[in-house]
Amino acid sequence: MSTDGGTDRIPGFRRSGHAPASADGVLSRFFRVGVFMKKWIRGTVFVCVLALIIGRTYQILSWKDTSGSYISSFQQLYNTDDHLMDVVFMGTSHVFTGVNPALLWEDYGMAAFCLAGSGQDKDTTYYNLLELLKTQSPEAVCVDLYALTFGRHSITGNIYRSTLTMHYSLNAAELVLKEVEEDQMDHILRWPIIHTRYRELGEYDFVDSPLNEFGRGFVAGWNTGESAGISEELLYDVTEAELSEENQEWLQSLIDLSKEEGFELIFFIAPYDLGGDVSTWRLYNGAKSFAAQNGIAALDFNVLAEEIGLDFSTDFSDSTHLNSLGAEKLTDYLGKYLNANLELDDHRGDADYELWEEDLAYYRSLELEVLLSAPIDSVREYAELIAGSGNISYVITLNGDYALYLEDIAELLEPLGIDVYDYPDGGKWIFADGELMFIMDNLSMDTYTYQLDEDVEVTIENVSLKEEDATVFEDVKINGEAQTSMYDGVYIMVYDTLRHQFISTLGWN
Amino acid sequence: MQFNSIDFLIFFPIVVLVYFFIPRRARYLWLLAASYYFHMSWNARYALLIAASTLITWVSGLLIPRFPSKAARKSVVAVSFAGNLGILFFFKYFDFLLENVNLVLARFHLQMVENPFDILLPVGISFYTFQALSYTMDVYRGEVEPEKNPLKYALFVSFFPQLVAGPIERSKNLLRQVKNVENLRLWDYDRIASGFILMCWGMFQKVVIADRLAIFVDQVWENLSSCGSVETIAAALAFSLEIYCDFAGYSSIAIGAARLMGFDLMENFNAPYFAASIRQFWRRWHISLSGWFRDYLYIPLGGNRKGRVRQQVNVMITFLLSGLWHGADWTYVIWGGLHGGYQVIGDLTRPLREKINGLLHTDTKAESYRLGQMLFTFLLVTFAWIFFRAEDLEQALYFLNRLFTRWNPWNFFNGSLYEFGLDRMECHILLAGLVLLFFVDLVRERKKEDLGNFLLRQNLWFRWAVVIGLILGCLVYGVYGVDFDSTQFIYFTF
Repeated sequence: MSTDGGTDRIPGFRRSGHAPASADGVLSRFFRVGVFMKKWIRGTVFVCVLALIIGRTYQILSWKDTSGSYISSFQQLYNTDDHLMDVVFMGTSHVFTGVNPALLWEDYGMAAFCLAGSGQDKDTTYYNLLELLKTQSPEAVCVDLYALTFGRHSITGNIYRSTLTMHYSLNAAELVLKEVEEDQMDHILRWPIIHTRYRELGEYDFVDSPLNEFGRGFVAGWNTGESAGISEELLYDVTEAELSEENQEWLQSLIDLSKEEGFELIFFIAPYDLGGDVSTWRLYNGAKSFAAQNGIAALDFNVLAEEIGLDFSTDFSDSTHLNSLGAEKLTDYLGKYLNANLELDDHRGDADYELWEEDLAYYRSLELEVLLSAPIDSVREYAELIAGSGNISYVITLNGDYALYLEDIAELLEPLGIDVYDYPDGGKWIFADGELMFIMDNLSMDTYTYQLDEDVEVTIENVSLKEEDATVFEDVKINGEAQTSMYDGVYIMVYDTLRHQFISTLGWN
Repeated sequence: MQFNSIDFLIFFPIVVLVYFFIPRRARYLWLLAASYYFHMSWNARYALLIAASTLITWVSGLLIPRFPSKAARKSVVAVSFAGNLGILFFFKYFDFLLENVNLVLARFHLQMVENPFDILLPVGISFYTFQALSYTMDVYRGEVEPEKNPLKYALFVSFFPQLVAGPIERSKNLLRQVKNVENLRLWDYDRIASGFILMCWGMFQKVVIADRLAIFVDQVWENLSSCGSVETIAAALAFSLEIYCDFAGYSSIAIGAARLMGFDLMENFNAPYFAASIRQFWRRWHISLSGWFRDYLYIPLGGNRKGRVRQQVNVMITFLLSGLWHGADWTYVIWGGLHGGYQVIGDLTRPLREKINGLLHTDTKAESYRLGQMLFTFLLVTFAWIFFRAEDLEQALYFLNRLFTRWNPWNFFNGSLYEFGLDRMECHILLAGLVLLFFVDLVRERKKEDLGNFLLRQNLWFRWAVVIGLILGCLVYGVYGVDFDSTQFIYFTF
C-alpha cells in the first residue's frame, strides 16, 4: 500500500512550506515532473497503439460478405462512393437473385444496387435502408413485399447477417434491440460473436472489398429448378386481407421515410411459387390496396409473370428463386418501368461509376464460364464465344498428328484469326483481350514467357524438340507445371483475368 | 457479475473512474456501494446475508475489548462464530446434511425427512464468512484494533475484487488499507500499469486457457462410458491445469483490480505446480485459505506442539474441513482427506525414503531429483483433483475404473483425443497458452514477483508486446460469447 501522509502527489514531488527551492531543487523537481509526464504520455501512446491494433483486428474478424457464403452486399455499399446510387432494391433472397443491377447499367447506365439479404425481415429492411441513406440519395427505392409474410428472423444465420453487417452506429444498435431478445449486448458489441471467426479466416478477411460476385448486390446462378408459380384461380380472387398492425406500421414507416428523404418508393413482389396460397395472395392484395391509397406503385410479378415472359420451368434455380435467366426478364421489365417513370441520367462512361462497369464485366465473366461449360454443339461456336469476350486470355496449342482433321481444325481456329495452313508443323498461340500476343511454331527453339496476371505465368518452349525424354505436354507450363492433359490436336485454355482463374479448357482432335 | 463478463467490463471502468475523481472522504462509500451492487448483481437478497455477517462480526469486534474477562471475550467470539458459521452451514451444508440423514434413515427403513427449504448457495459466502471471522479472531487476539466505522468495516468484508473468490483477506492487511483509504495514492502510473497487466494475465488464464481446457475436460467427463485410460488421464491432467488457471486467473484479476485502485491484496497462488511436496504445494496454492486454516484452526488445535500423533491428527482434521469448505459433498471431503493423507504418509515414510536414497546413493540436491519430486507431487495433486471434479462419489469411482481398466494407448496416436471438443487448431492455441503459463510461473518462481511487477522492469517494446498479446489473446482466442458458426450461413444461403 502506498500512502503519502494524506495527500496525492507526484512521485518524489514533495510539498514544502519553506522558502523557494534552490536551483538544484527546481531542476530536480523539473526532472521528476518530466519523468511523471513521460510515463503518462507513454501510457496514452500505448492506449492509442492498442486501439489501432484492436481496430484492425476487428476489421479482420468482422462479418463479411466477400467469401461467397454469407451473401450480403453491405461491404459493397460501404465500398461505394457517396451519392452515386440511382435506384436501390431491398428485400430477401428473392431480390438478390431476381434483380440484376449489371443489366440496368448495361441497358440504361442506371446505377442500381440491391441491398438485400437472406430472410431480410421488416425491421432489417427499414434499418438497412436508414443506413444506406446516410451515404446515398437514390431517386427510387424498390422494396419487395415478401417480408409481409413472415415475422422476425428465426434462423441464427439470418440474425447474424442482419445484426453484424452495418457499421457500429446507433442505427445498428437499434436494430439489435428490435431483432434480438437474448444476448443483445453480444450483438451490439459484436466481438463476443465474431471473435471465433479466427477458425475460418481467409484472404478476403485481410483484403478490403475485393471484387466479387456481389458487386452490386446480385447473386448470379444458372441452375435450373422448376417452380410452381401461381395458381390461376388466385388471379381472380380480389379479396383483400386486413393488414396486421405490424405490417401496416412497416409500410407506413417506409412511406414516411420516402417523404422525409425525398425518394420515390416502389413496392414490388418478386415472382416465386405462391401456388394456391390464398392467405398470402389476399395479404398481397391488402398491401397493394394500402399502397394505392398512399399513391405508391406496387408491381406484382406473380401477376406479371406472363407479361415479362417468365418460364417457370427454366427461369428458376429452385421453387422460389429466379436464376439469372429469370432475373434478366424481371430486370428488363423493371428497367423499362424505371426508365419510363423516373428521370435518371445515363452514367455510362462516367469514371465515378467504375464499380458498376466492373460489376457488369464480372457478371459477363460468370456468364461466359457457364456458356463455355455448357455442352458444345459446334467447336466453332466455342471459338466465337471466346473471340468476342473481354477480360480473358487464352493459350492455344496445335500438336501431333491432326492431318485427318485439318479442315475441321481450320474452321475452329478461323474465328480466332489463326490460319492453320500457315503452320504445317503446328504451333502455339497466346491471346489476351482478343489481341494475339505471341505465336510459336513447333519447330522453334525459342522460349517465351507470358504473365497472364500477377500470379500466373505461362512458359512456352518446344522442350520435346530439345530433350529426348520430354513430351509435348511439357512444352506449355503454367507456373512451371507441365499441362499433362494437353491433347494431340487442338487444346485451348481460357483464363479469366478479372477473376484470376482458368474458366475453361477444351481439347479437340 | 463474473469478471469475464461484459457487465464487469462496463462496471469496473466506471467504478474506477468515479473512484479516482470523487473527494477522498467519499471513496470508501463509493467502493462500498459498488461492492454491494457487484454482490447484488447475482441476487439482491444476498446483500442481507453479507450485511448480517458484517453486523455480527462488527458488533463482536466492538464488544470483545469491553469485556475484561477472557471467558466473556471467548463467549463473544463463540457467538460471532456460531452466527456466521450458522449462516454458512444453513446455506451451504443443510441440504448435504439432510441428504445424509435420509440415507441413514432409509437404511433403517424409516421415513425420510422432507427438505422444507429451497436453498440457493449465495455467491462468495464461504469467502466473506471466513474473512469476517478472521477479524473477530484478530480482535480477540489483540492483533487489530476494532473498527469503529461500520461502513468502512462493511467495505472490508465486501470489497468487490475479492468478494466472490478471494483472496480471503486478513484484517491486518486489508482493513488497515480500508481505514486509510482517503490517503491511498491513486495516480501512480506504475501501480495502475502493474494492476492492469495482472488483470490482463488473469483474464488470459481464465478465458484462453482454463475455459478452453474445460471444453475438453467436460466432454470427457460427460462421455466417460466411451473413454479409456488415455482420455481419462488426459482429462485428469487437463483438469489440474484448468482449475489452476481458473482459480489463479480469478485471483490475478482480483489482485490486479485492487492494485489498480491503490490496494494491495495478499498473494494467493505462487507457481503451485513447481512445488516439490504436498506441504509445499499448500504453501503455494490458495495461500489465503491455507493460511486461514493454519492460523485459525491448525494452530489453535495444537499444531505440531503436542506430539507427532496429535500433529498428524491435526493435519487430517484441517484438511478434511478444508475439503468440506470447498463443497458440500463427500467427494470434497475425500479430496481434502487425500491431501491430509499425503502429508501424513509423507511424514511417516520420510525415514524410509531417506534410507532408500542413501542406499541408492541418490543425490537429493540434484535438479533431476527435484524435478522428479515436482512431477510426483503434480501427479498426486492431479489424482486428488479427480474427486474434486466428480459430481459425486459414484462418478469419481467410475472415472477411476475407466482410467485403470481400459488401457488404450493407441488413442494417444490416432488423433481420437481431438474428438473431445478441441481440434488441432484449438490444441495449438492451448499449447501456446500453456507455454506462456509455464514461463510466467517460471518468472514467479525465479524472480519472486508477479507478471505485473516483472513486466514493469522490462523494456518498453517487450512490455507492450506482451500486454497487447494478452489483450488480443483474450479478445480473439478467449472462450466467451456466442459461438460463431459460418455453416449457419452456408446452409441458409437464402
